Amino acid sequence: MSILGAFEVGKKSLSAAQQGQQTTGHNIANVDTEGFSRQEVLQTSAQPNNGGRGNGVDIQGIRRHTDGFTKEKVIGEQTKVGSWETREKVLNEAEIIFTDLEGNRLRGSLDEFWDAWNNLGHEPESVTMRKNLLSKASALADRFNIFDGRLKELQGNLNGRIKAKILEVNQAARQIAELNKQVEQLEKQGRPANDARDAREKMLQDLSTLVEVRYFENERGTMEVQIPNGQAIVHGRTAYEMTALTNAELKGDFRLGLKTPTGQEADVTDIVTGGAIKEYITQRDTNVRQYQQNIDLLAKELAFQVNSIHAGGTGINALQTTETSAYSLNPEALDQPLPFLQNGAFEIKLYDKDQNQDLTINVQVEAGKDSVRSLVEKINRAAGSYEVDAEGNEKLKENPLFLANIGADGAVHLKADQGHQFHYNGDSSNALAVLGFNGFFQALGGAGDIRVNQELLDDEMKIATGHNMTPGDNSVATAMTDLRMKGVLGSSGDLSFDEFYNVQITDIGLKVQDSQKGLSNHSDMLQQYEALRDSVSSVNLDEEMANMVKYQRAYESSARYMSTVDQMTQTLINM
Amino acid sequence: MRVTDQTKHKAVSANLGKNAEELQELMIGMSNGKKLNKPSDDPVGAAMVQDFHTSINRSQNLEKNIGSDKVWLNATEAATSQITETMMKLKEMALQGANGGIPKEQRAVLSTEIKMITDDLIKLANKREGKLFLFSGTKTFTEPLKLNSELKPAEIQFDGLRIKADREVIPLDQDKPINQVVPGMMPGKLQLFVEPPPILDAEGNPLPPLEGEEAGPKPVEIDLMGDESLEEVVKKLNDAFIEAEGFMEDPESPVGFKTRLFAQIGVDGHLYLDPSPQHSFKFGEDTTGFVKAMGFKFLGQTADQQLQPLQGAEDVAGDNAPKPTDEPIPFETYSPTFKGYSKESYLVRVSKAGTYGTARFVVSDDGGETWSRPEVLNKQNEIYNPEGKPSDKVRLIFDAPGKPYFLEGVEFQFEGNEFVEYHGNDVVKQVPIDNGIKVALNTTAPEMFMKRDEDPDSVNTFEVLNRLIQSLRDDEQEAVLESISDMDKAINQLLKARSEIGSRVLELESSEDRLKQNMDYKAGELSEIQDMDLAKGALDLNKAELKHQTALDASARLIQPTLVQFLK
Repeated sequence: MSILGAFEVGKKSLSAAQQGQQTTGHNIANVDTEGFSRQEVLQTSAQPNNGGRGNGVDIQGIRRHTDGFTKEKVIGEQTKVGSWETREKVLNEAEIIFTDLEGNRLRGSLDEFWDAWNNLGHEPESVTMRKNLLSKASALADRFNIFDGRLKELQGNLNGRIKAKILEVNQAARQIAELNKQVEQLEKQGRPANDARDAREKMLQDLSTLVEVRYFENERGTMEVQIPNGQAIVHGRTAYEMTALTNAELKGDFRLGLKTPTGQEADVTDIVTGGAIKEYITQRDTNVRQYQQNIDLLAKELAFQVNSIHAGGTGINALQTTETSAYSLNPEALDQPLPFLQNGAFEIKLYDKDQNQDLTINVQVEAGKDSVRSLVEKINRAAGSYEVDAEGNEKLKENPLFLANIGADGAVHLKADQGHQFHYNGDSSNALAVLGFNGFFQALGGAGDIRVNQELLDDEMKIATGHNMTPGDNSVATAMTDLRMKGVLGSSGDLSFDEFYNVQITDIGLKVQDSQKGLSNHSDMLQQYEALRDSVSSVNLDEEMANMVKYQRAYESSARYMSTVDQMTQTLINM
Repeated sequence: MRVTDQTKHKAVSANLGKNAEELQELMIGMSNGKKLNKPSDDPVGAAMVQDFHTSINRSQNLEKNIGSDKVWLNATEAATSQITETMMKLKEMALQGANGGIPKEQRAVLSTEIKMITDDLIKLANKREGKLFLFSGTKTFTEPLKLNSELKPAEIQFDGLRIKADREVIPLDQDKPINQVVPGMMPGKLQLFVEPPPILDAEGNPLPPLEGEEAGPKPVEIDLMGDESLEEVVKKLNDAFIEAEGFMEDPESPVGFKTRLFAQIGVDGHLYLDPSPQHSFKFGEDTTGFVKAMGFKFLGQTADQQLQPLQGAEDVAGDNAPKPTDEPIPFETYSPTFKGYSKESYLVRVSKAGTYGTARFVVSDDGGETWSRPEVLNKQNEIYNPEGKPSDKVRLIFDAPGKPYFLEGVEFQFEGNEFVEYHGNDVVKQVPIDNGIKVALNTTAPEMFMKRDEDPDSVNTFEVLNRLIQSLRDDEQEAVLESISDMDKAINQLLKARSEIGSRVLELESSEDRLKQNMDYKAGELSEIQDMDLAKGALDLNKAELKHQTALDASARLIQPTLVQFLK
């Protein structure tokens, strides 16, 4: 045994204390680092030599405190929180569009629209009330347009966010691949890759917020990240790109794609079941789309119902000489039976220039049978516009009193002969509204393009309040006020416009509440799992302080030991 | 469990975050006074709030409408009350006129005065509210009552058999009637069948022909040269029929002899053949072309009248016989009569009595189903029916047997001196005053002044007044008295309309109250759902603040102490 051996023991001891202190310092330094796992110096007593004398301490390595099980839980929960957070965010934004508790947006405009009809029902002769109705109706149409615009904007936003989130996924995947490389290289050299692993786990956690993933570590220490069907996002040192898929059918809507090792893009939207991206897609395709459809439905049904009452009525002194239908159809649709018809009849009254009634055109309509073409023929037949020529063939007269025809543009044109004028007088068949005559609203697409018939805006006297041009007749106006309470919407057709809108409000309110609860539940869960994980991996300063003191004392003792051994050596030398 | 600094930190920040959120919610609520700020705060409540807002707005709007409706009703009420007063005044004057003691001249003065007041009455009924007429139904731009001083000619319909030539003969000279040759006529023979009804035995079977007589109808034949004027043809026809009856004298006949058929040129320039009552008629062979040239047609023949074939008739109609005259036309149960159709109330005056025979009249008030007993219509007679309605019919029967010749010299006229015509409509404007409740707003002039089907007590006020004016002018005390009872009816009618208006005003007012109540109630409910209970809110806020502060305190103590502070 040599005294120098004792020096060796002292040196190792000093080094161990130093290393321990350094690790403590590292831990303290990273006390707030997200994803950091506390480290600990592993010491063992050194291999004793031949005589069995102790050989001091050896440093075996630096260990990371981590627990695979809680880590997995955290990552799984992170995906759920990602989903719920996204859902809550999207629904909150949609809710803002619907928030109208003061009653001055869509619903308020709807109220004012009905009230304006009600006013007109009391004073059908009043020009003021007519102008008032037009302004309220235009405001309502604007509200619908704005509402639709906002929902469309939200939809566009969601697509933008999907694209941005996909970029984030790719970035995280690339970093994981990069870290895989570091871990593999370091560990191959036998060096610990603790911090690279921590960073990798942090990246994984970020990734799992966006996309639901499966992961495992293989024997080389690299982390394999996959979507639920096993398709790789990260394989060893390679990251596979996620893409925002779109095509003509999707009309600018994005879906989630993932490039396969062969470079093809696969649509994995339906495979991924959780995470922010999937939730954005889901919300866009379910709730947001549904609200949009419902608002469209509301606008269209309102326009149709109002039109079908309005079409059969007449205004004051509102005779016309020609009118073109608001809708035009493709040539092949002209012979198809028209939808929404009812068995009934409509009437057109023709007047000569002295306003004497000349001709009443009464057309019987068969639901599910009549097409645009057959209706046009019926109108002409009822108007007596056909004649039999010398060969016995039936043909249209050259200058009939009244003529209906289908223009090259696919629209139906009605024309009274020179000096004659006409008005509509009652329509129990909806045919005039379906063809688009004498309408109040025009709404081809729905909420996005609903507007008041320009002809009425130009001449408010054309607003139909009654029949037969009787100025005080309020029958159409009161029918409108009855329509306000009538059940026309919903699956069983018993919801009024107001009720239908209410259903939307309640629906979004409940969904937001639901998403808030879901988010809060899963956040709590995540917090608990994180607490569990932290209890293993996170730094406790008190512990570190204790360790610091411990290593300080160890260092002091080692130093003292060294100086003692030194003194012993001195003694030996001085002997 | 091992507690780490991260754990502590996360727990503290999560809890403080929750507290802060709660505080934020309460603060928003306290600052705007609402606990319901977005649908998710109370999804069902949010929908209810919408409904309450709608209900309140709607009620406010309806309240405004009811205000304007009341203006209309008040104007109506004012006008009707003026009208009633005027009618009362008229009745007083009528009573004055009915007084037997007053002289004829004074009645005449009263008559003119009443006439003037009647005109005022029409002006009152034409009152407007703003630019809209009060009493014209929904035709609010149309003046409801117009005075029409034109005499309305009776709508007279022939209800019997006549044979009329389609071709009109225009007399060149009033004094020298038709003497031109009938165009298209050739020399030849014209056969006419005019047969009396068969004589029946006790069983109702026709008796066999007398001995020596031929069975079957016998035509009367006229030979024409083809160059006769129409007048000459008429003469030949009449002569032939007089001859067929054996020149039997008949003082009542226009030609002085008994005849089965009388031919004449009417005042309208058409040739008429009038068979005697109950006789059947048909054209026989005609080689002259006369029938064709004149284009005869049958009047008074309707499709549902069963045609009985002339007994034993042979088909002797030639090619030239006009269509649709092949069938013999029997006079079965009816004689040639005129029907006069009334319009509303009517007054028929025969201003010129018939030249021949007498006339009777029957009245039907059920559209012709049943008729009253015939009464003789005298010269200057009047058929007056104050309760007339559009379906009423007056039928004048000229029943001198065998002599239906009455055309000239008789005039019919429905006469009402001056007609007051209603130009509005009967549509009553219904206005919505509450959820689904509608109230009738306008009163129409017919409700106040006219005879209406649905109200048997109603009278045509202006007819009554016309009669009153007339009878005062004519100094007929009896008739004046009669019209006073009608005036009572007219006044009652007005009062009925007025009370109706009153009940509408009441209905509006009660609806107004209901709306106010509804608004108050809904406003209360609304506040219940969406408004913050400020006291409770303040309390909650305090609690939340306290909680937050405590949490902060505790956190400060929890996070602060570490071993660091104790290591020197």
